[in-house]
Amino acid sequence: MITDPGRRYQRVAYGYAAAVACLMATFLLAIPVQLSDSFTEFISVHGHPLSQVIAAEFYNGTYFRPFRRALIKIVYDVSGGHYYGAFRGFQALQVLVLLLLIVRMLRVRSRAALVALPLGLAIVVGIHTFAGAVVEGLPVNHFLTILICCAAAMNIADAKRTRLTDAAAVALLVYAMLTIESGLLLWVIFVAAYAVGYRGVSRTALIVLTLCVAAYFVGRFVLIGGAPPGLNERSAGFGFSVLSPDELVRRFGGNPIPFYAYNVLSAISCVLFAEPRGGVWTFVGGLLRGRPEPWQFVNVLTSTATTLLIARYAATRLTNWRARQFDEADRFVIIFLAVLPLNALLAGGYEKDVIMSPAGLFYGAAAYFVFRERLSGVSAVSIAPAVALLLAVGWSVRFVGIHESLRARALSVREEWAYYDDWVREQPRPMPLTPEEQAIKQHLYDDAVLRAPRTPQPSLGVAERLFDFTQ
Amino acid sequence: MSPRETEGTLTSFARSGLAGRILVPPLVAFLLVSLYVVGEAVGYRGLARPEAETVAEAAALGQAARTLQLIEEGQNPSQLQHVRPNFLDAGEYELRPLEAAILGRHAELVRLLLRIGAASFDRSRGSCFARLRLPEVLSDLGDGGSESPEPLEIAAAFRMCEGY
Repeated sequence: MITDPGRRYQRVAYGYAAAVACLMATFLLAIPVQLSDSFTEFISVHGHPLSQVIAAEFYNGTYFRPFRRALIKIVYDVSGGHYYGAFRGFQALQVLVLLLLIVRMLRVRSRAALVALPLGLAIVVGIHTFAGAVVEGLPVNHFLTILICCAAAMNIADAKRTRLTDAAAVALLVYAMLTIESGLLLWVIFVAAYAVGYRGVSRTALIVLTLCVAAYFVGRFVLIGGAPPGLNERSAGFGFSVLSPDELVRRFGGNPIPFYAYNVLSAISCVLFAEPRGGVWTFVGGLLRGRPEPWQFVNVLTSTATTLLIARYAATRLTNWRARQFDEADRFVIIFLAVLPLNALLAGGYEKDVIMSPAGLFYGAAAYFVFRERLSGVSAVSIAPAVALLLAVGWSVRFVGIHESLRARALSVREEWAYYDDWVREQPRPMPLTPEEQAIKQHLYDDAVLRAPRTPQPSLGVAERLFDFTQ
Repeated sequence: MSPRETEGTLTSFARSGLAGRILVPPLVAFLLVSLYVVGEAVGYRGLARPEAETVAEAAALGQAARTLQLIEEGQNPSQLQHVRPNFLDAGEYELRPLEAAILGRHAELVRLLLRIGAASFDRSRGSCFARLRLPEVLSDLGDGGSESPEPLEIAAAFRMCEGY
């Protein structure tokens, strides 16, 4: 029997997070392995040993992600041919691990902390930057992997310092930054956490972490001779439209700095105000045309109001921060403020909502602490009850909306496979398949088209206009 | 942990209603989605779009995967099938899947059905529908006839082509 009330709250919090993860899992498990970005990954790892898969990614032109396919390869081999269950099950497991790590880092040990938790998780899960981490399979979603690493990093930073925490911090950073570029943010998290008083990682370990980051850049750009992605890599949002690679080269080929600056500022604004999305000012465009969608109002208003609350909290605590007096809420707000701009730098090449998912995670955590402090009655920030209610309702709508998007995704992935022949024809290069690859394709096709579970599409009438199906 | 964080009880401010306003909406959202999942698991479809039970219904909705799934399960794509109300419009029709896809204006699905050989029947009614509703697939149907300048409404198109 648990007598410590703090532990009791903590157990309830873990239970709620697990329930939220299980709920999302039921939607994830209805989505077959997707064709684009997944089938080709299977072909790439099939028949090659893990070491070869990793080695091949060391010299992959503009991207330096040697561990990206490693996790795909491991799940692929473990699946034993049951790709659908293995990859979707793995993603569902990742969501569970992420939410449990988040609850651990939020230290839910009081009634106020517990009362604020459902809203906190609704923000973390409902924010548009999180959608790309679950809606896309890829077939292992590396943005979701990085979010887990970010939450794990905070837990390590907050732990009792031992040699193990130091070693874990270094291992986590190396793994994350060699998976995708967003993994470099772990260094920011460890440094910012140390700066605000977390001592789970020693100063020596911080130096090692810094050397690892330096080694990353030297290795990538000097030893291997890699180059950052160019303008001709992909389409990107700019202003009110999406520009093709050719248009990007024509407009910014001579001087790409304004385009990069636009992307960085857009990425920051995307987290704080839910606008622009993918570099495109869809809400403003809708307003100018006189036809904004209801979901755009929900997104922009909830994000903007939440940002204002965090900003007011930061303003009231500035004096304490200058005196280096930080409590739990201060620390998370400051770490969010440190992660946000550096995360945005990673979106310099092209702005995509999911790239900002680490900043979105800390945004949710910061907002959670602002509400929690207010509930504890110790915060200087007042929140009008009506505003609190509107915010809670808005974020709850976004929480429901992500599940609607997952259900819609199940249908679109099935449709994608049904038109496999058209997809092959549209590929830039011919895709001849070996008999083994053909068998994999047929297995995935059967899973998605012929054996797929029936997933009825919700029909909620006008209420559906409140949900963001663009994510 | 600072004393601020160990606060174990809610203040009067929280008791005045803030706690409820913050707690209730996300909990209700979680419960609603959970109820939806449970309801769906036990067969409740009150909040779901109608699901296609015939190939023609799936084609009318433009759902290619469901179309192929039903063909694989043994339904004959060359036969007339019943299309219930609200799949194409408020009316109900007897259509072959190809015709349903044309009336629903799903050009990609029309081409997919032709590619998999799901159109081995007299296609003159299909061509008639295409002229009135989806002229871009006329060449796929092997028909170079004249087309309607604006797509006609489904019921009107059905009436005009009924004699084929």
